Amino acid sequence: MSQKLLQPFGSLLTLLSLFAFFGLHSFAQKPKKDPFVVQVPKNDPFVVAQQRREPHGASRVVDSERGNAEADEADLEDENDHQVEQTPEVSHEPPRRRIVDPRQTQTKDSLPARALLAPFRFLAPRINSGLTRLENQQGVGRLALILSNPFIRPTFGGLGDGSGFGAGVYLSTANRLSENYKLFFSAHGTTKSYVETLAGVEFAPRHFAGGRVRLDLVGRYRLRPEEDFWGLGTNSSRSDRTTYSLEERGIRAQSSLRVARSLRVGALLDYSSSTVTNGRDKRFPTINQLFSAADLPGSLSGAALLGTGLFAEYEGRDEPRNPHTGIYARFAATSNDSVGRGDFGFINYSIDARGYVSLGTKRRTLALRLLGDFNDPKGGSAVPFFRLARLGDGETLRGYDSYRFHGRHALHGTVEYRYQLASTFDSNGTAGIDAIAFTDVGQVFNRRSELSVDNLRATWGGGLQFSSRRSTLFRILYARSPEGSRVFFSFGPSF
Amino acid sequence: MISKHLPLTCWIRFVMTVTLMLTFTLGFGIQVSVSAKGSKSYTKTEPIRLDFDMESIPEPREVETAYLYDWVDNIAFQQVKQGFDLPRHLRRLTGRKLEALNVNTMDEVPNSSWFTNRIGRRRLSLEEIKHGPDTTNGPVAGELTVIRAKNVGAAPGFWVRDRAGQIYILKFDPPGYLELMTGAEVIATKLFYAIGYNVPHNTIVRFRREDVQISPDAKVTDEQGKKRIMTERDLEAILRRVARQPDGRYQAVASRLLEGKPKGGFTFAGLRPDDPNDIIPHERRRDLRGLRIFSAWLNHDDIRVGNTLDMYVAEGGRKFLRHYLIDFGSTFGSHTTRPNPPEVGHEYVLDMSTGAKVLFTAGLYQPAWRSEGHDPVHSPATGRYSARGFNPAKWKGNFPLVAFEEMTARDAFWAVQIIASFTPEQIRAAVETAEFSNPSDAEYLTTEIIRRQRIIVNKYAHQRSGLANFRVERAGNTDVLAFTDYRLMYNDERAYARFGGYAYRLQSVGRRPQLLAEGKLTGPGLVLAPDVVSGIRQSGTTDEERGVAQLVIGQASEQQKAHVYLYAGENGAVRIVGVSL
Repeated sequence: MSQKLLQPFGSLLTLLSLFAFFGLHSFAQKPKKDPFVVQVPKNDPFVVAQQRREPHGASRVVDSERGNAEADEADLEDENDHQVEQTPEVSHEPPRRRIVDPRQTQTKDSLPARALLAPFRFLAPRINSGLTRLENQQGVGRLALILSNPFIRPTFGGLGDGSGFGAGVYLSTANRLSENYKLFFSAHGTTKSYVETLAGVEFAPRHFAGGRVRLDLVGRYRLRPEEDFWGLGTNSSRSDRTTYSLEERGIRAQSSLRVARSLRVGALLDYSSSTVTNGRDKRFPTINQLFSAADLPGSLSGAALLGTGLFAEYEGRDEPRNPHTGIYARFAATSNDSVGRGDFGFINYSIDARGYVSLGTKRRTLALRLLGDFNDPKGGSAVPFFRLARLGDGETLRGYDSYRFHGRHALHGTVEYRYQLASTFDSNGTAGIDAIAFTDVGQVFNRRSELSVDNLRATWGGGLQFSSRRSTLFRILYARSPEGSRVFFSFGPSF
Repeated sequence: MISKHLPLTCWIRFVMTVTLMLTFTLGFGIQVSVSAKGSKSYTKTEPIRLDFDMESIPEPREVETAYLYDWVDNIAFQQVKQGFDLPRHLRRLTGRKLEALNVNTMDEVPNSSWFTNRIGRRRLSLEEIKHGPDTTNGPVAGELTVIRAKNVGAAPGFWVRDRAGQIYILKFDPPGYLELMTGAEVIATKLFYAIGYNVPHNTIVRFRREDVQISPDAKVTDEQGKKRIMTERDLEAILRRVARQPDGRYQAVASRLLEGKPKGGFTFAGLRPDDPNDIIPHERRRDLRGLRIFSAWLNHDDIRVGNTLDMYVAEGGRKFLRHYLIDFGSTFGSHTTRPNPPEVGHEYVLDMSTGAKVLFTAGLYQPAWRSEGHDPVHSPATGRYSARGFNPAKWKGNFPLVAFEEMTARDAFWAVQIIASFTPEQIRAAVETAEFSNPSDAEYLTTEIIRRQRIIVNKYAHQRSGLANFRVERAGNTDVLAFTDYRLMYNDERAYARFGGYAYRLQSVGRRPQLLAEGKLTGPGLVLAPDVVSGIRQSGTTDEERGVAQLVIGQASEQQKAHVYLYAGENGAVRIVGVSL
């Protein structure tokens, strides 16, 4: 077998050596005459034109080198001088000699090179033409303006893990009606029929309390038709993947006060009405086919919840959309109770703490993140299964399938090392291409006693991130877990 | 495991094939380089001082090159193309790159539509340095009419017409960095012109708001890329985005429109297909290869197709392309809209070679220059430009350019001779044209330019013999072959420590050279005694070789030697007919 393999390899090498011989031979041909004296090629339209215009010195110089001037002169007479306009001659000009023989400078790529370069030859002018048009018409600037238009702009991206690619539109009054508030509306859909519509008002009076107060009132509609559920706990089976559809209507009022330069505290009131139906992902059984409704509160009737809560948010990052140093933390506690459907009641505590450490330079950053999501039922009430804590998406346990783990509580940590490979000469050295290496560790659990190293799940991976000075633009990540691997493409800032 | 199953004959065939391939590859690689060096290096006739590439040609089409394409072309297309050039790799491996083509027998670049020998051929007065390419004193403040404007992009600016009808483009300094871009642009213009390149007229102009009026038909390009009639509000918007003098005046660099029709930039590899005069592949032009050294000196990091311009001009009754360098806003410490980031001069934009090192060391390796403190910004007007850590051999522009990559030590030494021609006074004169308001900025920049000049000369003079500027001088009744030793030019202590005089050997040319004289010199001058001259005159066996001798000379302690061809005619006068440095 190996001999059979090697014999053609030997033949290939023989061919390659012949190629090398002939390919190089063409490059190795030496000039036969003095390269510093012009050698006139026969029928060269340029030289023909040159000589016709040369009344005195140059032609003589050139012809004396050729030695067969008369014969060639006859040839020259027959040439059509169509390439050059007739121009008056200047008698006192210096000799019109060239430093090289044009024939010596004619280079020809080898056949393989020509074949390989053919696509580039075809593409290059077209790419240049397109880019030139784009630049001349301020295409990039216009695109940036469109994407950042405060009144109307398109939106791109998914609506959570496994939702597919999406697009939408954002409309706002910005400061057209008033500098103190704006009305807005957004609608976004994805290739997997996920839908999210928001409408509301953001009220931030500039001259009241020094502009530190903010009030948001937002109505929402969400349809998530292909959500995954795998059972409860870290030991849920991978074969138990089911699908369900979640439809939610809600409204949230949230007020906040900036109590210090980086610290904001607030309160919220939230009403939501959720309906669970069979999922549309035909590949998997629906949630009610595999799990009993008794184990999954809310899986039949959905839930109507009213939540009241408090939150505090600390923003101490150098550049929130592309951080390299600083701290960000958010803590929220929300009390949720049924209003109508079901018997639900629970308090949700969530924490999101992020720290960024520059390792000697801003071009090396260690990013740390701790996520906690805790749901404590009130008395004998339950937590709707779709409000359980979950892990396994683009930011948690990234090597696992979509929302692979569900539990009453979840704790998750990420360590991400980002280091700059190449810079785009941004003045503070933070724009360019970064390499990323990361590991995620997390666990879902129902009781604290379940917290153990054995139940921890971990993933690792790496990738690249493209950043401008102010924001991460695009990420491509490869993540690996004991159950497989995933590749993530994401636009916009990461944590 | 494989070897167990393979017969010996198969192995023999395998080894022979590989050996054959390597033999051919290396053999021809070397032959290429030998052939490149094997050309004749002298001519008894007058060397070509003008490469006449100014014949009339049909009007070429205008080629626009997008910035993004420029970038993609240089970092991808050109690199891929070069990657397939196997002989090129072999030549690089063997250290024998192809030499430049537009070089005459005196190792000079002849004048052409690309380059005009100026300071390299004669001493320029301080006035000539200051004047540069300028044909006027610039637009007259108080009589400027705006005819066109641009308020998008990084650097706003507008076109004005002065009373004489001349049109200038006004470009401004970014807020907070008064004199940074304007100063750099003007100084670089003067120096590049003195070096020999075609450059536009650039001068500093200062004016007040009331000195400028808007033409009724002036157009402005808005943020949507649309052109519309310009208003006072547009002018105000532009002027709000630029730096002002403490007395409220605006400072700009006025760049006069070049004569002729613009036909797009020139590339740094290949030929322009619609220019019959363009017969030398650009990567084999010494004036473009050597531009790498000049760019390193002046930190012209933004050298690329988009910052060059071919103009279709009419001169002497002929119409042809003249090739210009334009836009020097990103030279010295300026990055046009801000001081240079720390990477400038050290890395390409998205430099993959540095990136690979960083990647495979998991970021532990980060080049020292990436640190802000490595080479701090000196002042808002001078930005980040210094001789600290400057290594001209490792200098990089924003993009890799093929012509720069193909530069040989001979090309570099040619550039070094030109750079060394600048005296401190001439450099100071060029810096003065920036009209820095703070004299210490002018002093700093002058000092750093001179320091970088010396670093360049010391670096590249050592890659060749270091001897150049050979000339025959008359001393009494005898001729003396004098020369300049660039290795010792700037008191390089190491060079002095190694210096042990010069060794020379004078021999006839031809297949069997005969020794005419040899010996040692203590200084840069060889007396051509009558018997030596007589020996030269009688040497040679063919008409072509008769009267020609080759002088091989260099520092006694060094391997590299210069080759000088001397011709002694019947009248006994000796002249230099060829130089190979």
